[in-house]
Amino acid sequence: MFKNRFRHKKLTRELCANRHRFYKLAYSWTGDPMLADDLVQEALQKALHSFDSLKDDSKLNAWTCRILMNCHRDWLRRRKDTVDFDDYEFSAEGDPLAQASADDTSAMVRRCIARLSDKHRDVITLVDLMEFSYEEVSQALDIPIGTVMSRLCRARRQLKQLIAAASQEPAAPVTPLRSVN
Amino acid sequence: MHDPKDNPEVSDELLNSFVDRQLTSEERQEILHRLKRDRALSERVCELQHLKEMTRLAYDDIPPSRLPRRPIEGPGGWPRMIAAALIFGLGLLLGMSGLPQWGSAEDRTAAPGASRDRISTKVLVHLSSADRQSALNTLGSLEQMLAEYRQRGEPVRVEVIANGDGVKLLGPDTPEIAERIAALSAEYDNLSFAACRNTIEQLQLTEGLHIRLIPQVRLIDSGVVEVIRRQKEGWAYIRG
Repeated sequence: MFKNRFRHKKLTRELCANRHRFYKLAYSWTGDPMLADDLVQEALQKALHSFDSLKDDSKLNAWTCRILMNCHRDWLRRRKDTVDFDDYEFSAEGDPLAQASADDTSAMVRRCIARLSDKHRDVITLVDLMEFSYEEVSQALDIPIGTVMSRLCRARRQLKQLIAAASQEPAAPVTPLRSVN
Repeated sequence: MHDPKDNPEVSDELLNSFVDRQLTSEERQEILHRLKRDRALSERVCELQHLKEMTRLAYDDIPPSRLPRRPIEGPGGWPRMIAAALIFGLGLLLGMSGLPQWGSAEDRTAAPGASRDRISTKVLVHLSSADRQSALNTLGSLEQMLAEYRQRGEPVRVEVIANGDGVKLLGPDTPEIAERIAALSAEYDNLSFAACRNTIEQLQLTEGLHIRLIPQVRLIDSGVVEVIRRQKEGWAYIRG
């Protein structure tokens, strides 16, 4: 019993230490701080209640990422049929705020990452934001390492093109898209 | 896993693995060897590193999470709830300001940093050129400034970050600067020196330079990222 309790404490500490990385990851998928926050909260709570189903403690982060992804997919499924008026993306042409943010490189890169397909965005954010090894990405996404490598390669190629194009055009804010089927 | 010798064209997959440090040391050495001879290949690596750095940096200034203030409840049941109630009651009695909160390691390390944050003067000195005289002048000015703050009893923190050609000045090959850095570091523990690892690797690839650093200089992954971070934290920026 005590052994289990120590294990839970250790895993909890580790999760908390990585909380901000999970938040960054969720933010990169959603572009919305409140939603990212809620998803991380939900995922960490689920993880905390499911430590017994984690077979290998060294895979904690990859395992938690899968939970986070599922939380995000569930959220997308729930809202699939409704589009809030406030969420609707109007053209930002001529919008001074959008133009000011277009000057910000970080915001521009985030917009480009949001335009990637969900598969590409997943792999690039897991490698660059979560600093996962290819093996950990493979575990988190449940795909072979070879697929991780080829997907990452295509993702970076596409991101490079998007950034090159974005630096020459006035940009509008974009919400990341993810297929939920 | 990969053998570049079998394939004269280095694939993008392999270069990505190199940039992401996913290769074995032998594979890495082989790529490094090729990079010395192949400028186009070196440019491809630079582009990938740049892209990776931009992606990492893009999420550094996102709105902060509210999560540290929101406790995450693990499985516990009644015993834990009773214990929590007891602790809460005790806390009220003792006049505690709040309950322990969940937070990241960064939050925890921020606690000792809180005293550091009370230091109102934080100065970042950016060394990016190999001009020896200019660097010596900068170190001289720093010494004067540190002495003045010490005399007035005012806390100050100074960090010197070198990238670009600036890293060439932080090795034993420029003894007049190395001695000055060693003396200043011994005298002032609120002064630190850091050099950009990306630059050092690039200089090795493009100019074949093997930069050695004196022990007082620590290595950081990216000088540019550190400079931007410090500026966002409100550090005063001085170009050395």
